[in-house]
Amino acid sequence: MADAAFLALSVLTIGSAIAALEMRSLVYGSIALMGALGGIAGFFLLLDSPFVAMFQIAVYIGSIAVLILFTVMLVKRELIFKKIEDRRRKFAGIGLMLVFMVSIGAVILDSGIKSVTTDEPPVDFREIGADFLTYYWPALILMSLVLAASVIGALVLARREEELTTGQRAD
Amino acid sequence: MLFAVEIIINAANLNLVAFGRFLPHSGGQTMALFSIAIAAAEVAVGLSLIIVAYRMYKNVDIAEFRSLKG
Repeated sequence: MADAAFLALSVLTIGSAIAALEMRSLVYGSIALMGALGGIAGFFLLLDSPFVAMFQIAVYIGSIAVLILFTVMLVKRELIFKKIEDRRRKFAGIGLMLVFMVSIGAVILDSGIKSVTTDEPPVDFREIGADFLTYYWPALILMSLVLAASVIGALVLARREEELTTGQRAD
Repeated sequence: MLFAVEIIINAANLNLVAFGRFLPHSGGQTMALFSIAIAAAEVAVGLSLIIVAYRMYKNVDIAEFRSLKG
């Protein structure tokens, strides 16, 4: 059961990720990115961490993917990239990926993990909440400040400056 | 390029949760949650940068950006 779900999710996630990067149209690419992010959320469910899966769906699919979609629609009219593809660069990327996969695989094989199943009970989400408010509270406050700063920074960057400099408002 | 960054961040989160599953405490999942939140902040700033660059160059192709001057 879990194997079938794992295979289906793997195909969905990897296929959507490749489609998101290879698609010429940015709108279809961002929709494929949504599929990949949803597949990752499914993986989190398979890993007995429903809280992270919920967070992933709320933050990534709910806000980030929609934000990317709106920006793509706002920014570009024809939405097609010119094909500037370097063959050498592509092969270098594939070679780098293979080297990275082999080295990571060697590390995992050498790390002493003998099986993919574990006897540890799944972590309850109440424990995560308690950890957030006790041990990790400075990091939580810092993270909220970083989020606020990034939102303010995004607003300042995306603000239209003509209205301020020329002062020719209709009212 | 933003898509690629998002996919890599997601792979890192998946690794955090998957290896954190072998641990008796909730460290992996907590780190994954922090990482997701920081990625959200990064996307907000990145998209506003894209909007500013589009306003300046009328294009979002990163190979066309030659200058960083405002």
